[in-house]
Amino acid sequence: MSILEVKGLTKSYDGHPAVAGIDLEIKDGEVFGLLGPNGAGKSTTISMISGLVKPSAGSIRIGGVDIFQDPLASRRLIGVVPQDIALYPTLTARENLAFWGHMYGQSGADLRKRVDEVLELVGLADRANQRIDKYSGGMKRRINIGAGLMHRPKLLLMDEPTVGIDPQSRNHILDTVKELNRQGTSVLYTSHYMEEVEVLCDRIAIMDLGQVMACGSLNELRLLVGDKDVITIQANVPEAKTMDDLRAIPGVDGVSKDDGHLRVVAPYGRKVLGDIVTRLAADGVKVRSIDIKEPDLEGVFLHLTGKALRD
Amino acid sequence: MRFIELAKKDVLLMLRDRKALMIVVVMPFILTAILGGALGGMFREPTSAIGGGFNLMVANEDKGEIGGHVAEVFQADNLKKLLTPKPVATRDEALAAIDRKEAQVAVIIPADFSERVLKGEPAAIEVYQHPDSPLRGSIVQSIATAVTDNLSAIQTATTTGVELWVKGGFLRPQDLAAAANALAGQLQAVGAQAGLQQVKYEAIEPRKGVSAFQYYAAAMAVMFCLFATTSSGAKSFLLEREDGTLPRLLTTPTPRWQIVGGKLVGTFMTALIEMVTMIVATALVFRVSWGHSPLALAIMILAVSVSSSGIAVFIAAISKNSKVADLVSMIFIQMSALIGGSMVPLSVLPEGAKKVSLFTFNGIANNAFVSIMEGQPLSAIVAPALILVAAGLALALIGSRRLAA
Repeated sequence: MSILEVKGLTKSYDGHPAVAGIDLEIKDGEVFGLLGPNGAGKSTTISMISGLVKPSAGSIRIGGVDIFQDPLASRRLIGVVPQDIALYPTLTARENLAFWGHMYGQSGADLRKRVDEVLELVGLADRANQRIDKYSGGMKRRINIGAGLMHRPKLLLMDEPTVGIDPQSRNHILDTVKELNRQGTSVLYTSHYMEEVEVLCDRIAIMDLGQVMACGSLNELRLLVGDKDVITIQANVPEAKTMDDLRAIPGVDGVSKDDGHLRVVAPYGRKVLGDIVTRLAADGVKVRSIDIKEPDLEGVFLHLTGKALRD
Repeated sequence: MRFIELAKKDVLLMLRDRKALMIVVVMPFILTAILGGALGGMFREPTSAIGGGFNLMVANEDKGEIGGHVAEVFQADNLKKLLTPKPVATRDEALAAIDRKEAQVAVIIPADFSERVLKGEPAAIEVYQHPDSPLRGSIVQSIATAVTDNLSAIQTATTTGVELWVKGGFLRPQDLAAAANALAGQLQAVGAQAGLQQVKYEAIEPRKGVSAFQYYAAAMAVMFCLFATTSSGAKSFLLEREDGTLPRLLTTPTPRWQIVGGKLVGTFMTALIEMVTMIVATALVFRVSWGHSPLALAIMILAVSVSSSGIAVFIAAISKNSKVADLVSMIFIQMSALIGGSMVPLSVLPEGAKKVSLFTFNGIANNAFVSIMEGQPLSAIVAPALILVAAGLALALIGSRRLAA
């Protein structure tokens, strides 16, 4: 059974499509990843599913409920964790959670019990009565997630929930998502961090320029790249000309750079490795290490779009 | 009801916002202290200062009967709540009592008073006041004027009556003087029993004034009520939109009307808190009297709160973002405060400005609160309260529909 069915979803601004007729289906109990670079259309898609942005065309059904025919019923089924912290800074964590619980119709003992449960779930029970403007960025993000969980939603929409936080808080959030899924919550998780999506998601849709480029499990997506290798080179950051030179090497499918790493996708990595190193040396790029491995999502994205996720 | 929770949350946020608290509580209080203290001279003596009566020295130097009747006027029962007359023999004694502040006002009936009245010549009752007691002086002056008006009417009646008798052949010229004296004496007696005693306390009491502290307590409460509602109430709708909490609210199963309703109630609660805080604080600290009608005061607090909430919601609805709302609010509040008499008392404004002020939020509200402070009847605030509520509801309706869209 599907918790979310999206068909032909389109959103255009001044004639320019932000989302161009995408189809998505999330099965009950599934963690579904929406992966793509900034501007791919992920947030617009989430906004349309959560009812904030009216689509130009297409249909959205949540738990079998058409969100345009019965918006209030569909909103009871979803929890939304926005990309930015959408909380009241001068309220405590407990007060924030209680307020959002009220907005989902909770009250009394049930509300108080749920607040305690959520505080435990996000690991902030011991800081519950502290104003959240005193919290670290990671702690705020955790309460931001908690506010979307108050009414035990069937489907949790998480829009880049780990942007700008420390590794410890990120790991905590990833663990929370896993725990929620274990308890039966379906999750639509958008990110441009491929590692998170690889770790969390049962299925992944790769978006770029408002379109779904590919959709499937991690293994299914890897098959799209075939047996191509991903060569990861640790080096000082090369000039744009060097990147172009690398792309011009016969047998190279794509080149990207990220955090001091060069990534090169090639059907036969070892065959082109010599040419790559020669070219880098010629351009004065100092290579510190080279690693050749089977393709990951970055490689898949590179294969599908010819560019890196974070270009 | 979720809108109640929304309103409670907004009030809690306001109470935890130091800047908002400064605007709602501290600033109006400080400004009341500054303006009330600095501009006290521009105001009339407060009614409360008259209290349970003031001392009036009555020096009747006249040996005739009319002087005695005039002195009795100030001893009338219906004036006892207002003044305490103290007869003295001479002008000097009366004026010395004022100098010693044993009395605030003195009435001098000159030695030739009766004689001049009987001769039909102009006769004056002299009224002296201590410089600190202008209102009391004006009250006694009013009584004295009423007395002399009565006597003037008697003089006219005497002259006219005698002339008619002569023209009608009822009176010989040689008996003229005796008849005139007899008629004057009868009219005098009638006047003493009827005309002079008819001088009513109610009829001569002038419009009471308010002290500078009273005036500015009301003016600042009204002005900062608008500040509070526009800066902490309705503007929060725009801030929530900018901070992302409004979009998040819209993803919950809370209907839009409840979200807008919650904002409206929260704004109204903010206004109420500001008004009640100001009234209680100024009453306790500055001993400001807000009148003796709790009902009238409650009606005006509610009316001002409804009206300022409506204005604030309307401004939020027509503003693109919170910065624009701030600008529009500031311009509106300053204009309404200036024209409406919140900065300088309406009494010192030109006549044209006074008329315009009656169409401003501040002007209507200030006048109504002053009426309550003066002890005017409840009917005096019905019209302003209805106007404020009607305008507030209309603006709130228009603004809410726009915000909910």
